[in-house]
Amino acid sequence: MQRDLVERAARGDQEAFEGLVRLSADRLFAIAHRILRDHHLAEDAVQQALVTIWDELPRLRDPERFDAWTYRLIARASIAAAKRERRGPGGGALVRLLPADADASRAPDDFGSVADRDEVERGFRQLKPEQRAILTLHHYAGLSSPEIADVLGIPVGTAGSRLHYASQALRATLEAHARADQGKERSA
Amino acid sequence: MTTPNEQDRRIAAWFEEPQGRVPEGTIEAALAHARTHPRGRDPLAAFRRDPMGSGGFGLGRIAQPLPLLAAVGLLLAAAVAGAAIGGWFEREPAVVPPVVSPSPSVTPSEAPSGPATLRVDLIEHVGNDAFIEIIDESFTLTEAISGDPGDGVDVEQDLVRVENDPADPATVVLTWSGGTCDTRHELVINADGRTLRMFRGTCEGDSLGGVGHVLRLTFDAPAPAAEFDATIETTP
Repeated sequence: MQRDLVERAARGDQEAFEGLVRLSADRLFAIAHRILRDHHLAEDAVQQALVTIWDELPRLRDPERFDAWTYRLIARASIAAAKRERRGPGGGALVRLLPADADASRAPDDFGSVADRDEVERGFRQLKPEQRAILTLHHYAGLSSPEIADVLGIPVGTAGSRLHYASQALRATLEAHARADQGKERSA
Repeated sequence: MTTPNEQDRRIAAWFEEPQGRVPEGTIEAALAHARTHPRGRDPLAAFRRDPMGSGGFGLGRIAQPLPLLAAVGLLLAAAVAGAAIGGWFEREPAVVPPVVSPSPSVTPSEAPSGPATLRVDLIEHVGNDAFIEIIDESFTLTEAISGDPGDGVDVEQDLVRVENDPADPATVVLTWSGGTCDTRHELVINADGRTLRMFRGTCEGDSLGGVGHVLRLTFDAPAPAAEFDATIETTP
């Protein structure tokens, strides 16, 4: 079904394009939001990706590559948005909180303690946008290193090493926060 | 202190958090763009670069059957047009780009769907002001800055030396030499982030060689110099 929509949208069929958008938009938003940690920036990234899909779809030769292509577009749009935000006034902070609808209905036990979640959140925000993107493609989208390599257009070895460095950086940040918290508890 | 397994579990659980749905307004904006930019079948679509094709440059990019045919066709058409208007035998000399003063550092300004591009003015002490345009198809470059070649460099012509900055494993230093009129350069960082293809304009009538150029590239992760494949070509 998706292949048919892709082929028709590539020929300029706007109804088919709408069908594709409705199939893909939530998935793209979930990825953008995980990378950017900001509802509004994620909306902008999704909109940018959707516009690019319409503009450049005729160039996509293999309709079966549509999903991988959209992962590439949303990852790039999100990285670009994060870098723009970092260069903007305030220099570096993606500090808006999660949207109200993100987890208000969930009990903390669903994913561990609230403190756990906040710690991971803090650590993740300190990573570079490219590292956040690769971790999101792996942990959320469930892509393997070869699939990430395909999506990002990089060699498999490079994807593997970037994933390794990103995971290592997140773990190191979490460890550093844990040590800092322990230090505060002792001094208190 | 948490163990690595505990951390991995926490990270995995955190990624499973729901993130809400995309607002309808975002979808409507994209659909409005499609309505205001209608298009039919693109007859040249087959000749355009596949966005999921290889990120190569030059021959590597056009050496696929259809793009190759398109390129040959375009070259023939250009040759015929050039001959027809009589310009084939009376070409004007190449236009020299405007001179710019060296700037210390530039960071990429990327378009969301295309490669990031930036221009760095190269420091040199002998000839004219020189610059390099950098096209980063890998989106891994975080900074580019000219190094100071001093009185010269000991790199053979047509070679680019790649070394790591001892103080920063994410920074590689490119060094190459040329003539005093080597002012225009282009560097393409392929999507793999490790293939560097440099192009420089023809520098005719230059008797002074040995002008050095140094470019420092900083990436978003450690970039061992041994992983790089760097070439330099002279183009018309």
